[in-house]
Amino acid sequence: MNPRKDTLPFPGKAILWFFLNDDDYYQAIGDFEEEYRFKAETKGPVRAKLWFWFLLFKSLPGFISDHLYWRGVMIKNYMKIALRNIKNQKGYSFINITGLAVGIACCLFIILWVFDELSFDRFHKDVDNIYQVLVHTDVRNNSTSPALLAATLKEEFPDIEDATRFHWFFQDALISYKNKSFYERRIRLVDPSFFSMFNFPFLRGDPDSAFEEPYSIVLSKESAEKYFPKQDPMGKILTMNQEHELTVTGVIDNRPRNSTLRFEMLMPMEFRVLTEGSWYTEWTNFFVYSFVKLKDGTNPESTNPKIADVIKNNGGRQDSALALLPFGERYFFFYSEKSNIYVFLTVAAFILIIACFNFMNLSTARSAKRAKEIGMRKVVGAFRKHIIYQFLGESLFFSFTAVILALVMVALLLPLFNKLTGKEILLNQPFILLASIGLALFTGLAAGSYPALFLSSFQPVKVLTGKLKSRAKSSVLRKALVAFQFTLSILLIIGMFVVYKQINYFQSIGTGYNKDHIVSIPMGRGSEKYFYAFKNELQGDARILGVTGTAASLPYFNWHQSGFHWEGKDPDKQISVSYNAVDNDFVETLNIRMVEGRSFAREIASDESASYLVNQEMVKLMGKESVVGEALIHMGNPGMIIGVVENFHFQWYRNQIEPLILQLLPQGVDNLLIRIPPENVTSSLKLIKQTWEKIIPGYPFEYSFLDDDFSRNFRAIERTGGILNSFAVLAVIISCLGLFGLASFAAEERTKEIGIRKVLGSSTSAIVMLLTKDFSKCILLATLIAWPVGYFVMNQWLSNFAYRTKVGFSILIFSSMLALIIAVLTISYQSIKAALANPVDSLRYE
Amino acid sequence: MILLSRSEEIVLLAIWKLKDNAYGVSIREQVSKDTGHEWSFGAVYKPLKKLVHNDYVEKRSSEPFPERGGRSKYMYSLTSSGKKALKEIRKIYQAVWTEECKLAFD
Repeated sequence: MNPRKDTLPFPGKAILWFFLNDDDYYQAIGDFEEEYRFKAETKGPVRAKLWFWFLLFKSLPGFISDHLYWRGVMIKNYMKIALRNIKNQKGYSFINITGLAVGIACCLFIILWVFDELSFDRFHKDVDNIYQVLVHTDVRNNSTSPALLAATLKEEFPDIEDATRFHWFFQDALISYKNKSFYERRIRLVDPSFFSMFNFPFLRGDPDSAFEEPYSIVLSKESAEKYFPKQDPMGKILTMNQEHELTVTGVIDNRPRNSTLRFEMLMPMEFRVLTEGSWYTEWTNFFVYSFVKLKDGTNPESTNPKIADVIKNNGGRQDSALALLPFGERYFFFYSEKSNIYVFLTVAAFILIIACFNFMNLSTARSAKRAKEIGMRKVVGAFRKHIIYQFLGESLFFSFTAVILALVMVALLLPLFNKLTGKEILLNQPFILLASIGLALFTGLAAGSYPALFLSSFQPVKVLTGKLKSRAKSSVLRKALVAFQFTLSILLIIGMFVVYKQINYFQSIGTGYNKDHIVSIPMGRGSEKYFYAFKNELQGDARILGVTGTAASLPYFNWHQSGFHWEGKDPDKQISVSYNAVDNDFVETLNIRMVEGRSFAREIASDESASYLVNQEMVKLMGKESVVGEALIHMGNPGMIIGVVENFHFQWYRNQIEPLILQLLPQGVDNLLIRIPPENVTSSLKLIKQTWEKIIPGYPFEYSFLDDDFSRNFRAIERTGGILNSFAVLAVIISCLGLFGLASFAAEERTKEIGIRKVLGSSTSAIVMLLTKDFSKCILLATLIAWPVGYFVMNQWLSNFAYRTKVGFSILIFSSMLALIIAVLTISYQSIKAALANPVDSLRYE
Repeated sequence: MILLSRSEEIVLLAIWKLKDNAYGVSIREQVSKDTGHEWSFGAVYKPLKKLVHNDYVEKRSSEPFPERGGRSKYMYSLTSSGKKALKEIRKIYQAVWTEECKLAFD
């Protein structure tokens, strides 16, 4: 071993150098080296390294407090100078602190949002051992599975510790207590083991015994208050569909916000089995969610192949294979997109970078003001290290002030942010304090390190004799930073515009049916028998233009059916198509265009259940010129295609329009769709309500407008657009704050030059041009970088949609123009002010 | 009367015990042994520096050592006022810890 060579890791030495003065450093490095070598020889290099880092960090508090003890006077001096600078340059300090504060506030918002996204379903103790069983078939991937699956899995596989089903009613159920009745949409059916697998907090009742009886019901706190205000709900009897009596056996705390399993009421699965019977013993129907809990430490990869064939082996579909979806991933699988998290984190990073660059630019631009101070400090004995301490300390002071300001902003704007994102985020979370401190340290050190290194490099001789020449180089760097800031801002603006264009595009391509002035009414279980009476009563009145019904209501049909056969179809191939059961007048009421043939007619008796309408996609799938008159056989029942409708959007735009088969089946109707004239909406609604109460008493009348239901589907993408929008605007504002500071500095620096130019006859506009030109060049450069990047990234994003717009050159140009105009306006205030100044004022001291 | 902080006192005693071999590594070892828990270098240097500053301890550099990467050690030894301070501390302890106190805690 070379005795002259140090064996300590270099970063460790650098830390020691940074915190200790030369004499102490010499001693410390010697002591550390000696013990380190001894440890390395006796215990091996890995242990020695660990020991070194551990001891180094344990020593840091001692080093720092030692430092503060011996350098207290200097620290007092640094503070005084820093405060004096802030006071003397109020505008500059204001720009610096607000810029940082706004940037940090954006980051905090995004961090809050990301944590909220990641916290879904995490409150269940065993979340990492719970999986949802998915069923993959050749046609599609199902989240639902046969009702017998859960129990079978639990019985046959030792890996699986517990299993539960989660199921829903196909219709809204009518729940009544005395004279109070409501339709309940969110009743879910589960097995008793549901409460031991998942940790929903019980307010009343016992999770272990809640579902001992099949006719029990567990309420959420809200629904308990709805039915039993100020009463004890336990043991009370609720009536379902005027038929079944259910005992309340528990109350669950308002379901935790961040849960993907949503319900207002829970009932035992056993209830359904008793009331519906044989449905629940078949392996062919997929209609419940199955969740399993694996034994601690079981690898799902090893369980997956074991269970894959369970449905097949029990006589269910032969093309099915089971797969496990981790319960913690469920939120992203069904409800959200993980990519959004990356998008927003990128945006947060962009904004923080922009804010940090502002700080760097303004600090170095102002360096001339501090040059003499630094020179003096060095002359009276400061090392470079000490100047670095001073300036890092100053930037940390700025960043901590900014963080406090940012926290105030976040607290004030959180309700607005929640409205924008549709979340219910609270601020009282411990990580937010940690995140704030982390952000303060990060921005303070990141933004402060460059100015500290730059300023501490001044040589006292040059500074004090007035020969500071490093300006040209640093101003190039400043311009590069400005260009980079604007690149990021323009990228965000492009993103914002593309999202908006896509939303507009969605709205402009239309649905293929007329969704305006359609009233949608759900029919409760048992009320479908009144459908025709109701329809006949309404028809003929001038206040009603059309009445029809469907099984699955618009805007979404979520019903797939396989087992259709037609001439020329490969009999071995399973094809699943979208399917809906509708009433007469469906096509007419919704103004769907017929392409070929005729629509359903009430007069033709054979239409009922044996006639089909298909859409153009279905024609394409069948691969024939004309399909009208073709036979269509479903499960052995013969039928005939009587007409073709134009493609209309019955699914979310992200998906391609699927092949669709419509069947006339009035007894399957669950939803009423009524077209009313645009004028006199209230009187039409009144008529519908009166008729409802006359014909179908006992069932509450609830309605919505189809176009409202429709626009609800846009909310998710509109939210993304809204958030992106706000952050893009903020990014531009922060960039402009920095630009404003730099412009004022540039104008100030060239006061004398401008004075001389004016004396020699330069016009005001020429001077404004002179001052604006430099920064405009930066923005043009930013444009050149932002265009290809923005184009590429946004095209990637758009490729998620089956129906999509183009990025378009006009958006690129418009974004850059916008950035340029805002920037020029920002600069021109300072430029014009400088250009209009009287040259006498600027030159009289020479 | 001389009153030192507890850590200064412990380090001062350690230097006295170590006689001619008191330097960073050995002092850290000694105080860790005396107090029964490990001291970091940061915790040793701080009182050490104050002791030097207040003239209880003097510091000189030794020959270079290969195991220190060719650096010399800073060797510490008590000055006369350092010895006086130790004596005084002992006297104060004896005065403060009377017999009853000792009995009460045993």
